[in-house]
Amino acid sequence: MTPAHPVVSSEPLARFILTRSHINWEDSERPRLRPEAFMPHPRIELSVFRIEGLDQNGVREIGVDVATQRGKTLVGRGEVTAGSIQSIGLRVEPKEPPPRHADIVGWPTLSGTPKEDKSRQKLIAQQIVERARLVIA
Amino acid sequence: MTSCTDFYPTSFAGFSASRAQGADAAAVQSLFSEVQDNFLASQSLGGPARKTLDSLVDTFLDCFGADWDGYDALAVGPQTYHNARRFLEALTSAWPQPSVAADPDGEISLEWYRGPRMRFSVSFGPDATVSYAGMFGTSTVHGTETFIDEVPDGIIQHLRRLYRMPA
Repeated sequence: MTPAHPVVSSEPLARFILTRSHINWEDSERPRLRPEAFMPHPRIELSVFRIEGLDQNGVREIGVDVATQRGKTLVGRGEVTAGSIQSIGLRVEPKEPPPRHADIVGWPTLSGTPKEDKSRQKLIAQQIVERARLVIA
Repeated sequence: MTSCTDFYPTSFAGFSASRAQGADAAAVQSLFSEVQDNFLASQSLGGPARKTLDSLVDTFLDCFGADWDGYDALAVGPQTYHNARRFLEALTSAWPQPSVAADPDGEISLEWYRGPRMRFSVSFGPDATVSYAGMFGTSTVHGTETFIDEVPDGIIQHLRRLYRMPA
């Protein structure tokens, strides 16, 4: 696979989580992703990586790189297919460099009525989390 | 200020007194004093409410600095913390306690989660307008309400729906 090729719906994507705050740890045996991990603010796109064909170590390696570049520690990742993202009206667009990077775009913009737009973003983030799988680093 | 992303205090024993002076230092000292008072007061509450207030304090301290999520999130400000706390205090004990998190725009989010596709959250910023979003099976809702002193009826109606309580 050439990562910069157009995204197909079966492709898995990873959103790397760099703060424990984005995981609900109330049930320590079954931690849950929080919707906040999939909200794009302050940008209008959500940064993800295309992980098709990578094993666990390969995905984790990218996550550690992302975390290191941002001065954080990798906590985990949310995995979701591109098709799941597309099914709720968003798009996944390749955006390299870095290799395998893509953006989830098509979010409601924060423009006229920011709080109303934010509520729409939160709902979309909830819908993504319902389709995503948490992997702890 | 550094991010507290990986620091999860449940008490304030780890904080040493600062020698900083000036208006900003005084404001921060006052804020932390108030947070500490709130933390100590929460010790006298019942288990679930106490845990939620503890979690609110932890979230505020975790996200008090900018970029707490590694993706340029905005800092959670003192007024945002106050508003979320007032909401929790106004919420009657008839409702299950929500979980607390920070949004990347610096707001604090309270979420009630019943199971897959059964969730409802309210976000608080520094002003009186709160935004909410929820999933009730195949139905979804989102919008805004105004929170002054009482939990808005619109929020109560959505909680009733989530927990299938009669109106």
